Amino acid sequence: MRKKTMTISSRVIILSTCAMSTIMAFGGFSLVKMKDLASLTEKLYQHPYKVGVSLRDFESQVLEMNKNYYDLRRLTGNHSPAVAQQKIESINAYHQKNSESLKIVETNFLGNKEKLYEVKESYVNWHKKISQISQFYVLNNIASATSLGELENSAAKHLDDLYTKSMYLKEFADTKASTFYSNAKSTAHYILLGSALFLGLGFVFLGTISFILIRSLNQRLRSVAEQLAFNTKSVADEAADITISSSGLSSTVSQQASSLHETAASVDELTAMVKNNVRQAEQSKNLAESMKTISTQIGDEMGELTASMKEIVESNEKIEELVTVIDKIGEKTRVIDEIAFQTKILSLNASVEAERAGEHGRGFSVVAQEVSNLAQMSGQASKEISEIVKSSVNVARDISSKNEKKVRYGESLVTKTAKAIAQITQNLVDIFQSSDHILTASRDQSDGIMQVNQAMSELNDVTQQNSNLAEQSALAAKNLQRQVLQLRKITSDIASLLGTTSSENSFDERIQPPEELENRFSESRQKKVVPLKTKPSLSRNRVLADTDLNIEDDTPDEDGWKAI
Amino acid sequence: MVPMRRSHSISLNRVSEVIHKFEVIQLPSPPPFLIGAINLRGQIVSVFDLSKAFSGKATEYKSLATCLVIIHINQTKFAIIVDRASGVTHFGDNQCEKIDENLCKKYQEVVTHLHKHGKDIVLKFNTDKLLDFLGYQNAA
Repeated sequence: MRKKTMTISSRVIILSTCAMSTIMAFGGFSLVKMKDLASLTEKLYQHPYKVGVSLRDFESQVLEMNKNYYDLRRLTGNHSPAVAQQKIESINAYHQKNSESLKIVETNFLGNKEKLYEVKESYVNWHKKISQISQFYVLNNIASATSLGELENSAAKHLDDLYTKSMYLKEFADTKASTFYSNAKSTAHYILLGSALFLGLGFVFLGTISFILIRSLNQRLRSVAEQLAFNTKSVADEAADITISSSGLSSTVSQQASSLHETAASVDELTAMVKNNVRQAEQSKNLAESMKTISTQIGDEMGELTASMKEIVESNEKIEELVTVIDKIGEKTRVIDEIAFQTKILSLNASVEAERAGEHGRGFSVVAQEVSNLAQMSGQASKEISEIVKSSVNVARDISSKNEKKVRYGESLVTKTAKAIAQITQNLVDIFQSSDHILTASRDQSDGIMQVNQAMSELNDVTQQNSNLAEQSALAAKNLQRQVLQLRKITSDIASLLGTTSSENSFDERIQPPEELENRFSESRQKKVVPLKTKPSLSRNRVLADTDLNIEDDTPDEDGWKAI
Repeated sequence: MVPMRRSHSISLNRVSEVIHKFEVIQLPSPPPFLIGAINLRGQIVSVFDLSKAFSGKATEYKSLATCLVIIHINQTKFAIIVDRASGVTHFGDNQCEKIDENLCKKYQEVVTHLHKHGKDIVLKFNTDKLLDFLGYQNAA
C-alpha cells in the first residue's frame, strides 16, 4: 500500500496556517485587550482626566479670579478705573472659563452629581459675592464696612466651601483616575503578559510544528536524495548498459549489413536458379508432351501385340488339338501293340500246341515262332511308334505348355506393360501438369524473389537507418552519461545540503567519461554500413533526432512527489 | 547295381496254355501266395503268385504284359501269374546247371537247375515239386 505523505505546499500551508493562527490568536487577544485598554484610556481621558484637568483648571482659574479680586481690593482707593475694569474683565473671563470647565466636569463627572452641583452652587455664590464686592471696589463705593465685610466673609466662606467640595470632586476624580489607571495598567500588564505568553507559546508551537514538518521534510528530502543518488547509479548502470548495447547493436547492424549483402547475392543466385528452373520446367513440359505422344503410340502397338498374343494362343489351341490327334494315334498304336501281344500269345500257345504235337507240329512250331517274331517286331514297332507318339505328344505338349506359359507371361507382360504405359501416360500427364505447376510456381517464385529482392533493398534501408540509430543511440548514451554526471553533482549538492554523504566513489566507478565512450563508438562508426542499391530515407532519423532526450514522466514516484 | 529281372523257365510239356486277359476272383482267407481263381472256359483254376511265395513281394498283374501260365500236372490244373511270357526257348543240356545246394533251401525245392541263355540266366522250375511247394492239395 502506498504511503501517503504531505507535499511541500501542504506543509507550507500548514505551517503558514499555524503561524497565522498563532498571529491571529495573538492579534485577537491583543486586540481585545487593546480595545479594553483603549476603552479604559478613553474612560480615563474622558472622565477622570478631563474632570481632573477641568477641576484643576477650575481651581487655578478660581485662584486667578481670587487673585484678581484681591488685586482689585488692594487697589481700592488708588486705582484707576481702567485697571479695575481690567481686573473685572479678567475675573469675568476666568468665570467664563470656569463655566466651561464646570460644563466639562458636569458632562464627564461619574460620581455623585449632587456634590458637583454643590460645588457649582458654591462657585456661583462665591462669584456673586466677589462680583458684588468688585462692583463696590470699582465704583469705590464702599457702602459700609459692615456689609462689605459680610460680603467678604460670605465670599470667603463660599470659597472655602468651594475648595472643600472641589477637593471631594478632585479626590473622586483622582480616585477614579487611579482606578482606571490601575485597570489600564493591569490591562497593559495582561497585554504584555498575554503577548509574551502568546509569543512564547507561538514560538514553541511554531518551532515544534516547524521542527516536525522540516524534520519530516528533511527526512523525505534525504530519502529523495538517497533515492535520487541510487536512481542516478541505476541510470548510470543503464547508461553503461545502453552504451554496451549500442556498441553491440552497431556491430550487429554491421554484421546484419554484411549478411544482407550475402543474402542479396544468394537471392541473385536464387533468381538465376529459378529462371533456370523455369527453363527446365518448360523443357520438362515439352518432353512430357512428346513422351505422352510416344506412350500413346506404344499403347497402340501394345494393342497390336495383344492381338498377336491372342493369335499365338489360338495357334496353341490348335497344337492342343494336334496333340489330341496324336494321342488318338497313340491309342491306335496301343491297339496294334495289344494285337501284337495277343498275336505273340497266340504264337506262344501255338508253339505249345506244336510242341505237344511232337514231330508233326515241328513246322507249325517254326511258323508259330515266325509269327511270334513278327508279333514281336510288330509290337516293337508299335512300341517305338508309341514312344515316338508319346515323345511327340510330350514335345507338342511341352511346346504348347511353354507357348502357353510364354503367352501367359507375354499376356501378363502385355497387361503389366499396358498398365505401366497407362501409368506412364498418367504419370506423364501428371508430370505435364506438375511441370505446368512448376512452371507457374517458378514464375510465382521469380515474382516472389523479385519482391524478396525489393524487400531486401528495403531491409538494407532499414539496416542503414538502424546503423544511424545506433550511432544516435551511442550519442544519446554519451549525453546521458554527461547528464548523469551533472545529476550526480546535483545529488551531491542535495546530500551536502541535507548533511548526508553519497557514495560517490562507487558511483564514479560506474560512470564512464564521455570521452571513453567516444573512443568506444568511434570503432563502431568505422564499420559503416555500405548501402545496397537503396534510397536513403532519413525521416525516422530526423524524428528520433528531434525527439531525442525529450523525456517526460507524469507518473508520480513512490514518495508521492511529482516531477514539475 | 540294379538287380536284373528274374527269369524262370517251365517245361513245355507241363504248360497247357498262356492267357493274358483274365479276371481273378479273390477267395476268402487264402494263403499268401494264392491270389484267387479264374474261370477258364468253365473250369475253375487256382492262380498262384510265386513271387509272393519266394520273396514276399506280390506280382503286379494289371499291366498288359501280365499273363497267366496254365500248368497241368497229372490231372491238376493251376495257373501261375508272370510279369511277361517271353516265348518258347529250347535249352540244350550244356546250358543247364544244377544250383548249389547251399542256397535257399525253400527256393531250392522248386528251382533245382538253371539255364544259361546268352548273358542271361533262367531259373528252371521243377514242376513236380511245385505242387508240394504250393501245398496244392490243401489249396485245392
